[in-house]
Amino acid sequence: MYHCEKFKYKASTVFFIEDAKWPMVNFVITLRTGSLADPFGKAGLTRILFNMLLRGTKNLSRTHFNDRLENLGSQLDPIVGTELAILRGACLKRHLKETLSLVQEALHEPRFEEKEFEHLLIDIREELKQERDDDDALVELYLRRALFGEHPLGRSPLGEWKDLQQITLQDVKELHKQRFSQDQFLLGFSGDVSQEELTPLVQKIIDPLPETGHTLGPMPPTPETLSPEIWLIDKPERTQTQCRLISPTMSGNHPDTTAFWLGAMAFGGTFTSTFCKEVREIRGWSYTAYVQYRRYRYTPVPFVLGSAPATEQAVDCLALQADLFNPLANGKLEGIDHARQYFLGYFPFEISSAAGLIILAMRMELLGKEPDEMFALPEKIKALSDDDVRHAMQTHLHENAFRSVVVATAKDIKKPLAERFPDAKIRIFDYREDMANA
Amino acid sequence: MTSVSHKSRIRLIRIAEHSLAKSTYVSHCRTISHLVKKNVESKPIICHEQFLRMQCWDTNDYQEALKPLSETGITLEAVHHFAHKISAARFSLQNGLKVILMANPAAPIFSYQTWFKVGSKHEKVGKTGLAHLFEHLMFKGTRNHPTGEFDIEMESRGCQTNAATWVDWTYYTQSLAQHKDNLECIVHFESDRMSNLILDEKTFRSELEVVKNERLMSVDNSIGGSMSEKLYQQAFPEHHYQWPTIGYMDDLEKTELATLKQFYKNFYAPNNAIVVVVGAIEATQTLELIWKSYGHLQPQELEPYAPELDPPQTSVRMSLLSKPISTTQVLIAYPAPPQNSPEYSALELLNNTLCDGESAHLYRKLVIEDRVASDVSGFLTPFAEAGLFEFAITPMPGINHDDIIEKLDAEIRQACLNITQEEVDKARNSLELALLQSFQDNESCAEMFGHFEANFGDFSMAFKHIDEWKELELEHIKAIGQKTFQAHKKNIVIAKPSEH
Repeated sequence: MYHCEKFKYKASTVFFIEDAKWPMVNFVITLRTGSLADPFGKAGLTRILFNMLLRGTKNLSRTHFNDRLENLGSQLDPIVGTELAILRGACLKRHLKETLSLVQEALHEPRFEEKEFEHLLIDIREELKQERDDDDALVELYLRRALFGEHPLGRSPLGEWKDLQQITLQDVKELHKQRFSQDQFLLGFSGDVSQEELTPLVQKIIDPLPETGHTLGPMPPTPETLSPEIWLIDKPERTQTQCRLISPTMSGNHPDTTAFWLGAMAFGGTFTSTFCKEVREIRGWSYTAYVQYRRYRYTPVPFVLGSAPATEQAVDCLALQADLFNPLANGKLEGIDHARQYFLGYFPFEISSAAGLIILAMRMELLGKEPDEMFALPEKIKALSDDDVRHAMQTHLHENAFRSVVVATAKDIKKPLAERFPDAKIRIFDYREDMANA
Repeated sequence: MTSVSHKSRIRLIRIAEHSLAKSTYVSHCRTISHLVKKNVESKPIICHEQFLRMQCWDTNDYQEALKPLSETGITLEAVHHFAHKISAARFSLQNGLKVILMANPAAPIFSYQTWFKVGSKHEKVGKTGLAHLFEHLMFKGTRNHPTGEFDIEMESRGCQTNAATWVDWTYYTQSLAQHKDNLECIVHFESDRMSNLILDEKTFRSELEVVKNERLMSVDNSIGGSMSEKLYQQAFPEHHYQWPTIGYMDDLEKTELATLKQFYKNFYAPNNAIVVVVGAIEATQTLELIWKSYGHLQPQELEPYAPELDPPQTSVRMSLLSKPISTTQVLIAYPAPPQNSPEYSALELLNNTLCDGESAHLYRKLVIEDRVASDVSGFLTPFAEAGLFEFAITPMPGINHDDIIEKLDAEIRQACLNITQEEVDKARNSLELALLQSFQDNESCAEMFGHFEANFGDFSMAFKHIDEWKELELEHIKAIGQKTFQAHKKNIVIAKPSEH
C-alpha cells in the first residue's frame, strides 16, 4: 500500500507518494477555493483565470508554451469546481524538471493577453451553448439553480451566460493577484520522484508567491428546506426525459455526514438498493437510476435521486421518486448492513492508487483533517448502528421538502404533470431562455 | 452494462463506462448464501515479496507454477515482458478456455474479466442488438443461483462490476479486494453463468425495456449517438459494423426469447472465451481455481463468422440530420485499416499530431489560428477488421459546413505532407505517457489484454506499442497518411440545428 507524506514548505502544504514502478509523475497544483470565490455577477472568473494561465506567459506565447509542453508529451489541464481549482498534470520522469518549469511560468508569469482573453470568452460562450445540447448536463445546471437559487453555490463553475459580459481582463488579473499566495496552494505529487528531487522543484513554484492572500469570507446561509416545486425544462423532440429529485442536506463537516452517506448508499447506491430496484429492475423504466451524495465537501451537499425514463413514463417515475423519498425522510430504510459490507469491501479501491490517494489527502486537508484520517473511515462505518443511519436520514431530509427538475418536451408532459401533482407549483423554463442573444 | 459507443477509445483509455452513470458510488453486484463456503477465510495470505517477484516472472517461473497442476492439462502458451517491469502469461485449458495472468502487487486488489469473442458484427440483419441485450441478461439467474444472487453477493464484497459490448467482443469485469474468498467466489459465479444461465420470458421482457431506454439515451436523444449511427450506416453498406451495438429499436422490439437462447448456445462457450486476471494474485492458486470451475465445461461448436465485405469506396457519401442543437456539428470519416495492420501504428501517431492538444495541426489551424471551429478531435477505431479514422468538428457560428469540410480536408492533406520529426517525437512521448498511465490500473491493463487477445489472439500487442512507434520512419508515416486521407473516400454526417 502507498504511504502519503505531507510536509509544509513555507505557507504551502505538499503531499507526495514515491512510487517508482513506472517512469512517470502525476501532479496537482490546487488552489483552496474554486468558483465560490467568483464575485457576485462574475460567475466563471476562476475558470477563466485558470484557462488564461495556459494561454501564454511573459516569455512564451500561447503557441510556444503549448509546443514546449506537448513536445515533452506532458499533460496539463485546468479543472475548476466549486470548492477547488486545480492544474492537474502528468509527465514522463525524464521530463519532470522541464514540465514543472513550464507550470511555474504559467502560475507566476501569465501573459494575460487581451486577444486571448477575448477568444476565451467566445470559446466559453460556445461551450455553454453546447452544454444545453446534452440533456444530462442541462438537468445538472438547473438542479443547482433549483436548490441554491442566487446563492454562489447556485452558479455553474463553468460560468453563467449573463455574467460573462461583465468579466474584464482586469478582473482576471486582480483575482490572480489576490488568490495566488503560498497559504492558498496545496501541491501533490505521486510517481517516480523522491523528496530530494522534489524539494527544489517545489521551491521554485512556491518561493515567488506572497505568503498570504485573500481568503474566502463566510458563505451566506443555504436553504435548509424547500417548498415543493417542479421545474420543467422544455426542450424539443425529447423521447426520453431526465428526472431529478433534489433536497438540501448538510455541509461535509457535519458529524452526521458519514451516517447520511451510508444511508444514501443503502437507499440508491447499488443495483440491489431500494431505489434502483424499484425503477430499473421491477419497472424497467430507466437504464440509469441512482442516488448522488458526495463526501469530502465543506459546502452543503445536496441529496439527489436521478433517473431517465421515456416520456410516457416520466410522470409516473417522478411520482415514484417522491413516494420513495418521503418514507426515507421519515427514517424508513432497509439494506443498511448490505451497504456497510459493500463499502468495507470496496474501501481498498479508494486508497489503491497513488494519484487517487493524493486527491483524497487534499480533500481531508480542506476539511481540516489529517490525511491519515481517511484510513479510519472503515472503523467509523463499522461503528455506526442502523439507528444512527436512519436518524441521520430523518434529521436531514424532510417529507415533501424537495424539488423535482425534469428535462422534457413540455407539450408532451405538462398536462399529465399538472393532473398528477395538483398541489405542486410547476415552473416551465425554455432550455435556452437565459441565453438571450445566443 | 453498456454498449460501447464508437467514440469510446479502447486502446489507452478505460472502456467500461458505468451503467448507473453519474452515481458516486455505484457498481453492479449480488449475494450468495450457499456458495462455496467451505474455504472461506482459509486462503493463505501471500506475502508481499512473492508478489514483487511474480510481477516479472519468466517462462521458467510460470512453468514451475504449473507443476503442482500437472494433472489438469493446463498448458503455458506464451509469456511476454514489458520494460523489464512486468510480465504476463497466457495459459490454455483443454476445453479451449484461454487464461491470461498478470501479477501487480501495488495494492491488495485484483480485476477479473471474462471476454467472449462475440459482438454486434456477429448479429444478422433484422436481429441487431442481440449481443448487447444478451450481456444484460447475463446478470440474471442461473440453474444454481436465482436472479438477484449475483448482484447481492458481489455488492456484499464491495465488488465493482460492469460489462461492455462492442462490435467485435463482449466482456464482463469485476474488481475486488484480495481477501477472504473473493477470487474463488468470482471464479465460481463467472463459470456458472457461462453455462447455466436461465433465460425466461418475464426476465427477458423486463430487461428489454431497460435496453430500449438505454437506446433512447445513447442514440435517439443524443446528438453524438445519432450522428455516429448514421455515419456507420453509410460507411459500411455491407459489413456488419454498419449497425449500432445497441441495435435498432424495431429489431429490439421484435427480439424473441428463442433467438437469445440460440445466441447463448452459439457463442457462450469456453472455447470462445478468455479469462484475464490482473492484480494481487498468485499463479498456481488462480489457475487451480479456474480449472476446478471451468475445466469440466464442454467446448461448443461455434457459429462461423464470415464478414460481408464492402466494395471499395469510390465517391464521397454524405448525410444531413436536423436536431434541436445549438451549433452545427460535423463528422468526417475515412476508411482505416484494422488495428493489427502495420499501418495502424502510423495512423495512431498521425492522430496525435493532427488532433491531440493545442499544438496539434488541425486544432492549431482551425481552432486557434483561423477561429473557424470551436473544437476538433480525431478517433481511430480499434477494430478487428477495417474501420474508420473519424474527425469530429464543431464550426464556429456563421461558418458554413461545406467550407469547414473543405478546409479540414485540405489541412489534413497538408499536414500529411509537412509533418516533421519533432511532431512525431511529440506524439511518441504523449502516447508513451498514456500507455504507462493505463498500466497503473489493473482494470485498464486487463482490458488491453482482453481486447487484443479477443480480436487478434495476441495479448502481447499491449506491450508492443512503444517499439512500433519508435520504429516508424517519418516518410513512411507521411505515405500512410496520404494513402488514408483521400478526398473521395470521405463519409460525412452533418447535424444542423432544427427550426425550434
